[in-house]
Amino acid sequence: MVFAHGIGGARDLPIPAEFAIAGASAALAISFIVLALAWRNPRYDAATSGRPAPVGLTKLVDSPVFQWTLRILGLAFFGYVVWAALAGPDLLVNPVFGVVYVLLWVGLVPASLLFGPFYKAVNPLRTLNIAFSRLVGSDPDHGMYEVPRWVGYWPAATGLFAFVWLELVYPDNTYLSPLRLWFAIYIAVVFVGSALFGSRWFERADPFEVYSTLVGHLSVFGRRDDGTLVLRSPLANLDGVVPGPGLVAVVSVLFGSTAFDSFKDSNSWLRFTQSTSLPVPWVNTVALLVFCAVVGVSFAAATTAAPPREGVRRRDLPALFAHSVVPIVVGYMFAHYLTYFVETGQQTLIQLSDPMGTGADLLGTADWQVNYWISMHPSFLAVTKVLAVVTGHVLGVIAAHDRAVALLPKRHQLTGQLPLLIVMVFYTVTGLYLLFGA
Amino acid sequence: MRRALALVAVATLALSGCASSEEPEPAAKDTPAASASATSDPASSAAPSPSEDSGNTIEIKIQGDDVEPSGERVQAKVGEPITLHISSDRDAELHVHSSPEQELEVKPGESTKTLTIDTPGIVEVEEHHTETVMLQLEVR
Repeated sequence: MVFAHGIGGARDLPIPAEFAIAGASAALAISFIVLALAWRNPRYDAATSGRPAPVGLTKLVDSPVFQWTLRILGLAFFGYVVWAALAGPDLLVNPVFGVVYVLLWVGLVPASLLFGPFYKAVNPLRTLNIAFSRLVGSDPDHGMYEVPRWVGYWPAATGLFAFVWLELVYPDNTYLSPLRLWFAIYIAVVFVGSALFGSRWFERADPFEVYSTLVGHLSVFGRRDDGTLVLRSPLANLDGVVPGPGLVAVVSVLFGSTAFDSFKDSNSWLRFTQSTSLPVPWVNTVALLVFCAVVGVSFAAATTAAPPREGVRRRDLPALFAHSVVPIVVGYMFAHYLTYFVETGQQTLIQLSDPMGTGADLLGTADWQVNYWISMHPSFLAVTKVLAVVTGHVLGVIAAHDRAVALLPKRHQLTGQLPLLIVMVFYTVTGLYLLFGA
Repeated sequence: MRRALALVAVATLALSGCASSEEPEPAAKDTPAASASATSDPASSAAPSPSEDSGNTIEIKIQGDDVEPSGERVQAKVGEPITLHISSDRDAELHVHSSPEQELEVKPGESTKTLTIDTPGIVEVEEHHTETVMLQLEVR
């Protein structure tokens, strides 16, 4: 069968109204409880916090054998998928679509939550950069130039926007040639950049690595400033997100695009786009931009509402608070993509055995059957989704509070947090509303 | 903090309480293989054969690039057949984005097809040529 329209079959039912209301009320109440009762001096300092990991674990993680094993696995998988993308059939049975839209884009969230900066460890372009540097006798970590400070995370934010545009707006995104073109540009920008600027470029410009490393800060694995591998709570680990120009844009694109994805599937938007004479891809592009811009602008306005303490520039505040949106993004992503990840993910694993569409069973997964247990239990699914959104919200509010008591002068500490708290409640309630109105 | 956590726990209990008293689990079949069956009437018979089931009946019109309905939300039940009365002036393919996906071939003229969805969710029925989402079946 050949389907022209996207991958993944049925979507989730809307969550029941009472679940959405219960979730929103809990988010609101907990927010103010945190504000009223939580500590008054900053608790998290990623530079020094955490318990050193067991020696055996540190030795393993830092050993070249372990690192090269992951790199080679990443490179081998990359090669396998490139083969499917170049030589496989231009049909939805080609696993490349599921690999890109499900395993890579959605799967990097749970992988990074569990293992930390997962994508950095397997990033095939990093491995190619090392290989290329060995070949020409240069240092893979240092390129010919330094990345200018103002560049920050803007290349990654741009790349992330380009990806969500491909995923959510571009009508032919499940055909091979647009996908090949997108990844050709991605590889060119990221790989050539790494030759010019060294491996730091990946931390600034590779959308998948930047996303994975951000989410990885919610894992229990972190490193202190001196490089010690430590185990610590996700909130303590989250404090280690490196702020910089464009970080707010990164989280805005991640959250805004997921909200737009929910919105675009709503019945009213569907009816509008099918009856309008306006060019739909353009309408959706504008709508996607508006969603991301609303997140970014409201966040910047809320975080700069109160003046910081001396020594902190007011215009740096949005980036200094941006880490606190990461748990909200992850909670909402989890709710939005759970069924898709589990069910279309299984479908992709099955398809991966037969990349050429010849009936092969290269990986031994070809005769697996997709398990639809999650779809068959819609109430369980709805509760899980609401809990994910509320948990993300609570972690976000606590992270923002801890940063606020570090950055705001004593007399503004409570009032200064209010705008951000209100904006976070707005994000969460909007997210729940979109899950309800699906 | 402890109080905040307690509140999360309370909210959790409240939510899962709701869940257990909510609608019963769909009559669980072990293999949710969806099935589509088609009964094509000869183009000459104008009136579609009366269907014996009590489920949904939906009228579908395909005339060139005009397809109706467009984006209609229809409530449906898991495992209950949905009858489509189709009137078309061309060959068409209806893609049913259920899990797993289904496909209905439409011939010119009047025809009746039944569709059964065995997994809860929102299932879009799309006319392939115009890429119009005709129906969003809300299957519970």
